[in-house]
Amino acid sequence: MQEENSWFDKSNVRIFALFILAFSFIYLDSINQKYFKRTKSLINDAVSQASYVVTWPIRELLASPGYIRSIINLKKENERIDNLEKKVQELIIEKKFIQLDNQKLKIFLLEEQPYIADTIQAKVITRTKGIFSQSIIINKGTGDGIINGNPIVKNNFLIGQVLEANFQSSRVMLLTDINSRIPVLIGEQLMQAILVGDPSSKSQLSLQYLPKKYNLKNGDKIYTSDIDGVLKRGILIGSITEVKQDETNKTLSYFIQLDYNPYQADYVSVFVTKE
Amino acid sequence: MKKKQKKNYNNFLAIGLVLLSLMGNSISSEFFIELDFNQFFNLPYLLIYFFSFNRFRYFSIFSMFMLGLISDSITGIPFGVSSVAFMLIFRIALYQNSIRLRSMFLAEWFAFAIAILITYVLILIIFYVGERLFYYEVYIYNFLGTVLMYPFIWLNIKIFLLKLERLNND
Repeated sequence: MQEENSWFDKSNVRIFALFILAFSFIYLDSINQKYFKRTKSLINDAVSQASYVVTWPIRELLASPGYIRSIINLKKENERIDNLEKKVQELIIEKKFIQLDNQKLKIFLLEEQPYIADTIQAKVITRTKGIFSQSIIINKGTGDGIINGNPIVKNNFLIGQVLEANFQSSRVMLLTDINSRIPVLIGEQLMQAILVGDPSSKSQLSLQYLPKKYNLKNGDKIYTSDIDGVLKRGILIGSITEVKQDETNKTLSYFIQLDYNPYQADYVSVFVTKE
Repeated sequence: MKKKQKKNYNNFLAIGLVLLSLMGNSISSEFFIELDFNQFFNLPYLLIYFFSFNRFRYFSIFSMFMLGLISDSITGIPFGVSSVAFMLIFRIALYQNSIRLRSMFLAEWFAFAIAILITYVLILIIFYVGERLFYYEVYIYNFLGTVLMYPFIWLNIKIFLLKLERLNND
């Protein structure tokens, strides 16, 4: 009984050793020790792949009603596609449409060319939304050319940045994470600011380092800025909504609406820098 | 000759429950459902305390250490933080259990609050020393949420384990 009640005795050496080991891990992680970083990458790869495999049966089981529903809806979907095809045929007949479409396509291709050239498609294998972090894990890593800081895009909207590139997987820090810092440009005036993850805000996002005389409007778009040399300029992030002027405090309150919910992403694109 | 011990698959059940609680977000978001329960209460801490305090002997200090590493790998916080937290909860729970005189739920609930409070304070100290950003209000709400959720989870797991026991006996 005496032994059970005491916090430290000979039988607790193992416990003490494990605590010391855990604290030394924390220390090695904080100083980014080279060998520890490699070991950590291996563990991260193994855990992320294993967690995907382990949760696979649960996901499939829970998804089965969806599959059945999709089979039932297949007929309706077919009819809808038929109708759409007819509409498309009618439009194609019009010469004007083709010419306009071609012009648009040319412009689009010119704009998108640099993006298409250096993006990697990756599958989201794990999502984390808790008090410690807000992140996702993708199935591509340093072996595919991904490095820390690479921007992650879904449907042409920025959702986060690579925080930790392992060998076969990478952790992506989402914009709403408290440690996230993204240089941005806002609205038509292209005001510079830093978009930060802010748990105290309703949208979990806020803007810092805005110019002294800033003026935000409803619908102002937020784009990435290339000021830090890591991100490309002009990737859409979201927009400003619910702008309200508080007359008593002379402060401006606003809501940042993200254009894409990162937790719903199944596949994402990673911008990689090719040398 | 040593008696051959009967295998207790409940060990895997407890560890499986903790792992599942760590991956809850990932599974739910596959169906476009955002279960943000990890933001309102800490299910892994709750489960670890429950199984350690109630002397089911499902966990060991080493399994806590390993589960902590897996948790850190999933959540993305510095390696070792969750190990320290899990081992601390486990150790406090065992200690509290060894000094308890009567089996009373209110006392267990209070002891749980103390264990979680100590763990959160230690985690925040580690984050502060490691210059990692944190918003303390989130942790306060999470602590309160975890404490308030304990009776509900406690009741559910007890019922579940009783049913499982009956099933095994049958």
